[in-house]
Amino acid sequence: MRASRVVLALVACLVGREAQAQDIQRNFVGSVQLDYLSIPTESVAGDTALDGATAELSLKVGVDFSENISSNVKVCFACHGFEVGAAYFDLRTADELNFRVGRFTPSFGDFPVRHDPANHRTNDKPLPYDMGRMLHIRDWNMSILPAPWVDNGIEINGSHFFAELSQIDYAIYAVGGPRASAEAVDFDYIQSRTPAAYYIDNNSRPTVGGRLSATLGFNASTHLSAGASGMVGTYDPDNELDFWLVGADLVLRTSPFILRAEYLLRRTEMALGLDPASRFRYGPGADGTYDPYFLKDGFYTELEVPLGDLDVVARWDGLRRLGNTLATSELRSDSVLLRYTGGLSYRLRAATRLKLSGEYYDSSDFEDEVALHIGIASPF
Amino acid sequence: MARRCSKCHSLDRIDVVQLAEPRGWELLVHRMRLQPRSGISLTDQDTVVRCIVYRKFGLDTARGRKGAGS
Repeated sequence: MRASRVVLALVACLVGREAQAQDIQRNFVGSVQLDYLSIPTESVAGDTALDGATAELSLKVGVDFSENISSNVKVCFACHGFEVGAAYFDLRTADELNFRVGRFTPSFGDFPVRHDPANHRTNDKPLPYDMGRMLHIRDWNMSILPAPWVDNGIEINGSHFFAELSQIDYAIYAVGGPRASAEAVDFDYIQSRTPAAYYIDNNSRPTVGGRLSATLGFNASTHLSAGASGMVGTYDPDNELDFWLVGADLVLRTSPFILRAEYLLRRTEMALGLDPASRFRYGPGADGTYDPYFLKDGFYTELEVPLGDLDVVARWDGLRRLGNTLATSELRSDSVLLRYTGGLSYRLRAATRLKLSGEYYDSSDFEDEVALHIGIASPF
Repeated sequence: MARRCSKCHSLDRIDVVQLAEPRGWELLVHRMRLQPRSGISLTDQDTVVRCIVYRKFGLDTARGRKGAGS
């Protein structure tokens, strides 16, 4: 408690001194997307997906106290109702050293930077980062790391620029981490966003992680970025069930197109319970013991071609789950989901865009299905 | 500006944002420069700020010098 008071006093002192030196600048931005998801291969798709119309709204206030101190507060409204997507301070001592404290999305992968619907051209997110729009969402327990992943904690990050067109970025962080109940077999995403469980760490142990990426600029219009991310921690209240998550990403931006590719892999420990024989679908291994871990990995590759007011997007993404499943699960010990997406984003007027996309789901455990999106999105 | 800013958001986003003062853009672009993979060097930052401030306020710099064409 004393330490937190000292930190708050230091921040207040810094803010006060900086604010005297320069005028405080405030800006207000936001975005809205209305998207309609239709699944023509299902007569009633409510059991399969969160179909129909969804509205995603974000409202953000940024306050620049100076070049070294800023604060951002972002409120989002979507399927969950209102949520605080960000509320943090950035305390910057140099380009290479910034302290971010509060509630934020810890640095992981490339897509989360563009998670705002107004900042990506497709109607929905790539499967490894999906947050509610994928088919068979409950069977798969959503994606690997739903974006935006918002949590409380501290992140130290920075950027070093070199050779005029290139830079290295890093981040390390400690956050509350994912949550679930005791005896869980996977993350419980509802617990991460319900006030019933309080917005605090559920097991008194932080989840830690980091990211390192490099961007090489070959000329004014061609950049190649590569990054690696990792996260490790426990997710149950007893601090017994561990997980680790790693990711790699590559982005090539050149004059006629943008090519993106990411891969994520999560290893998660399941509670075996008192009677694993009745709890799980598959029996023990050759050594007579149950494997308590499952692997979930996923990828996406995306080609975006801007053609004036029209952007054309082709995406191929997928999820795979390896490991034992609950006896009630529709998945098997080796389940695969592949998706093929074609999309258009047309600028109607100013920053307002009409988004259209068609998706074909190729599943190892369910009938292949088609999903159609039509949406309108705009920043403001 | 087109190549740097559009890495994370569309250029349209800049057009719809209204800030009261040029100084606000100076600080905002500085913050964007330090976003991962921004590709915005210090030299680029000055260029981007001057471009935006000229378009929005008709000023040569964020410190408020009137542009020749304004």
